[in-house]
Amino acid sequence: MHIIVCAKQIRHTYARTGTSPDTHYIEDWDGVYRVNPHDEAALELALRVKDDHAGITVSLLTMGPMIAEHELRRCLATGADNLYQIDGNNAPDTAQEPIDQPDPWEKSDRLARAVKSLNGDLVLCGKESLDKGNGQVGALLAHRLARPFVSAITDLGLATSDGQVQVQRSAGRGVREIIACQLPAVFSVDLGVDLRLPNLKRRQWADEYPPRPVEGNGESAPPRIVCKHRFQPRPRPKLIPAPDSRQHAYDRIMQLLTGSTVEKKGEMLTGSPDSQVEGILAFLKTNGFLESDRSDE
Amino acid sequence: MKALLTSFDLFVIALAFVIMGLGLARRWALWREKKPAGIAGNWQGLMASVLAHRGILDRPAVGLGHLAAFWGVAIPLLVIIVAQFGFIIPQAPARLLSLIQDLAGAALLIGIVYLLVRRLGREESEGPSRTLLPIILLLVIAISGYLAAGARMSILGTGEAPWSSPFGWLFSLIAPASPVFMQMMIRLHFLAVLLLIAAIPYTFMRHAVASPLNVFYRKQGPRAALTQPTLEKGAVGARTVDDLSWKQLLDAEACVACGRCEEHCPATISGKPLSPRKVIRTIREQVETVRTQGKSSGNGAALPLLANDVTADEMWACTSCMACIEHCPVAIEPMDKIIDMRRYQVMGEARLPSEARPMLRDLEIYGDVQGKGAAHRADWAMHRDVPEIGRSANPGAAEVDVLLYVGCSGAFHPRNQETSRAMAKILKAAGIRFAILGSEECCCGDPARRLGDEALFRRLARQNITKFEQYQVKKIVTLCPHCLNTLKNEYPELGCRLEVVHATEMVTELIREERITLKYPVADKITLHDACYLGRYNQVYQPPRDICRAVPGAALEETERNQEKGFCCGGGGGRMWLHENIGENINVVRAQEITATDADLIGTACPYCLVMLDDGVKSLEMEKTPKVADVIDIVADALG
Repeated sequence: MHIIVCAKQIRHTYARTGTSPDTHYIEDWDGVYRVNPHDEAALELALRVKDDHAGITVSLLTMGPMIAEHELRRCLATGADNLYQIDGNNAPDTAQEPIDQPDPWEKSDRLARAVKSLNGDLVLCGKESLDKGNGQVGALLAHRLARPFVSAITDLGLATSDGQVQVQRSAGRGVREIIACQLPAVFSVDLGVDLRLPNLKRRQWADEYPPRPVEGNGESAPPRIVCKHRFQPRPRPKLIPAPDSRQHAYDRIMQLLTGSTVEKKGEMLTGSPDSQVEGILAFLKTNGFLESDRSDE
Repeated sequence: MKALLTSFDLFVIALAFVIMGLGLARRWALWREKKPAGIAGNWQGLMASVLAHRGILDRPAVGLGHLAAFWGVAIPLLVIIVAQFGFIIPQAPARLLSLIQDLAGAALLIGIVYLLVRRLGREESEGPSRTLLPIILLLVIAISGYLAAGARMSILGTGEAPWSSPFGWLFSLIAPASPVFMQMMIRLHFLAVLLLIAAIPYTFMRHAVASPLNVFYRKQGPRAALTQPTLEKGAVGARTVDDLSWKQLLDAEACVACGRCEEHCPATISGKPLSPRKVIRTIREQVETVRTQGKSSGNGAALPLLANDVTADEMWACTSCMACIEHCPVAIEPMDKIIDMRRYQVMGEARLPSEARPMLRDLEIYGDVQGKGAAHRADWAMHRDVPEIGRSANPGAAEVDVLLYVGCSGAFHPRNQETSRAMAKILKAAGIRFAILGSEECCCGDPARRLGDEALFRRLARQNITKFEQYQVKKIVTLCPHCLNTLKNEYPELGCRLEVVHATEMVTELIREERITLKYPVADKITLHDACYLGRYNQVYQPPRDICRAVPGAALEETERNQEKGFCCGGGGGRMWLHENIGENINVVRAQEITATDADLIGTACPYCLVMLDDGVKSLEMEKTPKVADVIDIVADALG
């Protein structure tokens, strides 16, 4: 059986330390290149199936230039057998800006043709990507391949006999569903599974591995939706609680400057339960939560 | 004395030596193939260790016992060997020699009786059975020697100089004046000596050969810097004993299981299953198994895994504090073997305690242990006018005298960021032209390396070295002793030799040159916690003490275990990121010890120690919790 795991290489921008509005205040060092974490989780599920059953091939499928090559090769080293690349050659070698990415319709078309040419029985992809967050590609891919689709799965079990698989999906708010599904199928994977580490031998193998190109036949589908603008969030004003007036002026100013939270000093009650109860009562009374005995009179 | 040997005696002597030689050769064969060609020895250290018992005397009682036994064997043996050549010496020196001989025998007797009594009292599994035979042989040698001398004196009379052999004279009171008895005793003495010689390779006594050899070949250079495995050739740490180096196997051979490592190991003391002594013993036992197996199966195909006998709980309990290395009298290093086993677990088997995985992943992706990213690396210095080397108008060495290498803790941990700001303040007050790498800095690689991920360490180190070269850095000052150790002692292997000092060393210098003056008192009584990576690793004990003494109005109170004997905070060797589920928490043990000094300020010089001790001290829930501060913070506070 051939499991294809779609792995998207992204630039994850986590900071904005720049000074120029033209670049949205984003500098080179404000981002890291990595493989989408949802896709890493998808790979892990595929590898777990591979561990448990014989005769399973796991292939990674990526699209566009190798912007996160080191991380992608690390994924390969954790246990995948192949690495296929769509459009490795004719894509520009510069960083892939999210706004310039093809729309999900176009992406799913290229992926679908690649999956067909690779004869994938099961396609796993991430629930969404960290840079774009569309969450459409999996569903559209299933549509194009005319296969059943389950979103946000967190566990995958392969029944050995009739080619049926059992998946667990998260339905939100901690609700889980167990779903039976016939192969071939497409699943999108949610975070949550513990990832494995690659060993050094596999890493050295993966570093030498040449990515294998797959080309879809014919023209790719024209985009249906176009992203016009992409706005970065305004930096949020930091909420700083009023410093504790019991502290020194210096400490209070330092707290405002560093934006740290005020440490509340608690008192630990010890002794017998009776004395602890007395302590709690005394605290409540002195702070006005309970009316003191005097006012009862 | 005349030569008394018959040809039969010569034959027996030769036999004893042949047996000894064969035994030693067989042991030697265990590790011979691995001996590197150009390994240098150290005569000075050997002499200090063997003749003066440096290290062994750290435990005074048993050390003196061993010293007595050693000289009690060495002197008479030397004298007897020399005596076989039939010198004629004048009477006075001869009598003096006899006195020395007599006293040496007495030393042996006292030493060996003490060691025997001590052994019998112990309930250790391996102690008595292994050491009993050699000890009893030595006892027989000493007593039979005295009885023979005593018998001779009873026969011949004490002569005109009984002072020349006082103990012999004592024995002459009980020894019968019979030549047959004397001859019997001499025979017994002679046989026991030969038996002991023949038994050296087969018993506990082989330490008399292996331990001095280990001291002779002790590691040169930085004391506990790890060495690189050749990853390119597929070396991924220690899977079986076959993967250990010659010196590492020699270490195992030299161990007498005295237990000094265990006594000082924070993991053992706090109730973890790890014992450095057991690790070394396991290696020796496995080497011996390999030898017997190698004969039967022909090759080492089925070597036992080290991980079979050294469990994960043991392997991951090491804080790499170097106490075992510091206190080993015969220069054994259990730590590098533990790291090698970790390397195999991580790089060979891809196994790592799950709680440490996110940290290594953050190191891989973001280049720092907290995963906050290089863009935030200089946030601690925001609006504080700390120059960044890459963003100045003319980046290069000309403008900057020293590079402040902040490290992950100093850059990201809120508590350690204060220390970084304090250091910047001190450097500015002293008028030093310094700069930081800012967002171009990345982790020094120590956490990855101690956890066994050598490949990641190399990647991070190369990244840093490239930056050092790009900006032509000449001198680096680090805030964290772990960075200090890595940059100073471990980067040279990757081709980066720079002058690296720790912040405390630099500040001490500034105080001495009066470029800064400490004006304000900060505490009445300060105590110091020695960071392992600063003290034992780099021998920086004095600077933090000098700094505390320079603070006006402060008294320095030492903790019970300090300097070389300093106790770990429990945060080194990657333990900062591992759970501590077994036994007591090391930082609490240390906090209890420190708070016993009643100091109101606890100084340390390491970000890990600071965080660990702060936690430890707070968890004691004392009436008045002492403050924990970095020595650098103390200086900045005292500057005003």
